Amino acid sequence: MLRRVVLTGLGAVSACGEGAEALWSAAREGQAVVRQAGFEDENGKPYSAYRIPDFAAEKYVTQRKSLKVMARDIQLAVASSVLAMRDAGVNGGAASEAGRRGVVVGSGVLNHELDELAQSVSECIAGDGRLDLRKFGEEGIPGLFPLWLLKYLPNMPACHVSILFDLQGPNNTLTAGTSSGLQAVGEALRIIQRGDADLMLAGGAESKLNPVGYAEYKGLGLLSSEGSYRPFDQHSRGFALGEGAAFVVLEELEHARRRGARIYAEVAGYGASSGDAREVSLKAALKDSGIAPSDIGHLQASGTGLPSEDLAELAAYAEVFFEHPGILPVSCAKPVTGFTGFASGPLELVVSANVIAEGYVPPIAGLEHPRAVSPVLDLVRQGRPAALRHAMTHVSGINGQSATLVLRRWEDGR
Amino acid sequence: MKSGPRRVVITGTGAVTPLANTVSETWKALLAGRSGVGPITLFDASTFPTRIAGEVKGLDMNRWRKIRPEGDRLGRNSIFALEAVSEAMAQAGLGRLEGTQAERTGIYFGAGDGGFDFVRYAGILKEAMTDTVSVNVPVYLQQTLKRMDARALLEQEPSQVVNHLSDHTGARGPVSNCLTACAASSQAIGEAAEIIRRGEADVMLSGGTHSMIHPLGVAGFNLLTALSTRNDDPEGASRPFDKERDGFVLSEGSGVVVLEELEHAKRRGAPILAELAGYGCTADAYRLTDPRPDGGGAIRAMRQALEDAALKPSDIHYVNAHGTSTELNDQVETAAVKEVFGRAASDLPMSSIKSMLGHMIAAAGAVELIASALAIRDGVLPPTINYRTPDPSCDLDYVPNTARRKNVSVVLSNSFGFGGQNIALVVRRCEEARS
Repeated sequence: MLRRVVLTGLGAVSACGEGAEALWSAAREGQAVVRQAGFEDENGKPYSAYRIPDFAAEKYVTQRKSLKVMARDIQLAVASSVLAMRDAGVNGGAASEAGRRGVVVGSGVLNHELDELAQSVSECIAGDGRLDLRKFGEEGIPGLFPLWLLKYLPNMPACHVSILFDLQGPNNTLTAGTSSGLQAVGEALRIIQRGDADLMLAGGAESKLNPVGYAEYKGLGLLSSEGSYRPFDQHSRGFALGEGAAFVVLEELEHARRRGARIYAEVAGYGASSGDAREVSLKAALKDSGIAPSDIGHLQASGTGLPSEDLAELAAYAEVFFEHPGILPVSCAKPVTGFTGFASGPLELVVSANVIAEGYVPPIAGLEHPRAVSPVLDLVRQGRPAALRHAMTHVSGINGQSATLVLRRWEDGR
Repeated sequence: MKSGPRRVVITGTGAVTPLANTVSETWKALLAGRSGVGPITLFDASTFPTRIAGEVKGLDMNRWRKIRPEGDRLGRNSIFALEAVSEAMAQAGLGRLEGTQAERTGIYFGAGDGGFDFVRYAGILKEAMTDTVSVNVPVYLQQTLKRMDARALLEQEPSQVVNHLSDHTGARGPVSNCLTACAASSQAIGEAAEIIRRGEADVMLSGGTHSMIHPLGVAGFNLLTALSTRNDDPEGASRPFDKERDGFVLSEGSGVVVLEELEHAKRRGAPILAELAGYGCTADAYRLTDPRPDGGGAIRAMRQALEDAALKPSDIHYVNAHGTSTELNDQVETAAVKEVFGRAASDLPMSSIKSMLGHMIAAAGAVELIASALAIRDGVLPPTINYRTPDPSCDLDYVPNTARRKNVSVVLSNSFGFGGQNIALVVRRCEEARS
């Protein structure tokens, strides 16, 4: 029989604030707070989005030297991993356990800071307005920050976290688009199941809330014009930018029991598929959990807010839950956090863990006119208590793959 | 095998390397001890500290740009991967995937990020510098939205490679990509094998692809003083384990393997090259770029891979080294191998094909695994070329300069990366293949 895995720590940093409780209380109330992002848009207007309020990395990273080589995404990753380990009550741990602990992170391209490059690059522009590479080689390169490359390597969040907590076991960085963060949790589950570790930190971090990220999403036509975020609504035309990170602590059941850890939920199963095969990942997660569609009591949806993707996602749910005898409540946390890319899955999983622990189904903030109506899906507009045993979290869309994770309510003494 | 009875074999291989654009031609060149390193031609590097690299040559890039939708935006990394996947699938006897086969086939790659138009981007930055210290963001945004193609910017994301691959091959099973620096494609292959072992897929397309031969890539590594600057002797620049080594040589390309569950492969009569028998993965948790001086992480990774394959150190016949040609790696890897294999280490041949290929970064491990499997098939070990001056701290048998005939059945392949990533894979002859 496979080793059982439970969730024992939650850490989150998002527009809702720092800590998993801040995220849950905002999600529970469907409360979205949009703030000034700290830069102006192409029209010179201050841009507003889902910015983390007053984030100070120094609170989590005590070594100033380390801070200098961390892109904002890395800082957020470290902060939320600290929060998750604190929540799990794991401190350092015996050196002999270091090899049995690891980390998996969902990541990708980390946006650089404009001024860092601009300084040395702008002095190497020739008369025709083009970069003179010869001049750049001679004068530009020496002007760059020597550790520039390390500040932005996608696997550096996992590296910093592993050093901080002395995690010498399995270490991986998934860069598969927006599903990366939830895939990281799924792979951490597999690593513990197969016996390669007893405790894993898993999560994701992203901040594209900067001019480089904004330009890319704006250019791709993915941003909602009104700055609002209303997944699954007929009037939704895209997403609003957010930033954040979430990490969870996964632990082998007996390991968690031995140290008397609080258990949020059991991780029941996981499924993955290519991006267009959402139903394959949904069915794989059910099969892996050994349950039927009718056993799912709540679904945390991806909801990118792009019309075609919202429709495709709802169609996949309708197909998989076709035989669901009741009506499945569906929530979506993105209107509360904004679009957070690699971090979105873990942030939504933190919400799901609270859904199942507290027995409360949160609303989809801002939803007025659902894009599609299905006899088996209830796109929740009013939060409400609900007794449920299994909660599903699904991430797909925006050039990402599909990933689905199932949590099972933890009943003591089982 | 601890994860259950499902065994994983290699049924197809593909490669695009600085030596050649197929597996068989690359292998021939490796056995001949040829170097694929030369002066950088992809951009004007004439004033860069490093002006040499291992570039892919003679590949018809336009073929893929015509075949694929949005083909004109494809990065070199995606084109290399599409080419190598095609070779590997053809070898494995797989066409475009449909129906159940598509759902039971996944992709797990260690693809690196795609390059971008740095020269154009620099022009935009300049225009947006309305004073001498900082960028005027509205101007930057106006210029970027006007002059940069957003879909081309998106191609920088390493996830785009697997998006293209799943779309092109039809694979609908588990799809992922890991980017764990220089260990990425080895880790991808290890994790892909785990997916097959636990039954989530029957076939996995795995490997890696990368090109960092662009101004920012070379500049970034130069700033870290990681690259060889032996610009006057490109072919002699990558010299793993040699006392005169002065850094690694950046190169590019792709390596792909088709991994398949043994019974599945036998049922469809697929050609079985070798069995992927063991996988080990650890972290140094030490420093951002330096390995643990005692090689602790590397040692544990090798031991895990052996344990996973249910083998003893004495079962290993050849080690395909990470062997980057940097001062630190070669020393620590040598010490780690000596710790794992004890006194037998001095009789254990260990070579680095990076001496010929340069360092393909995320793609390196996959090509090295393919070479490991071919060493078993052909009974010949590729050499470490440019080995002239022994280093007292690197005193193993590195198969210096010329390939060596030797029957080997079990090979260990190491990959270590920035960030303290340690991966070891064990590949062995598959006896079932003959029955």
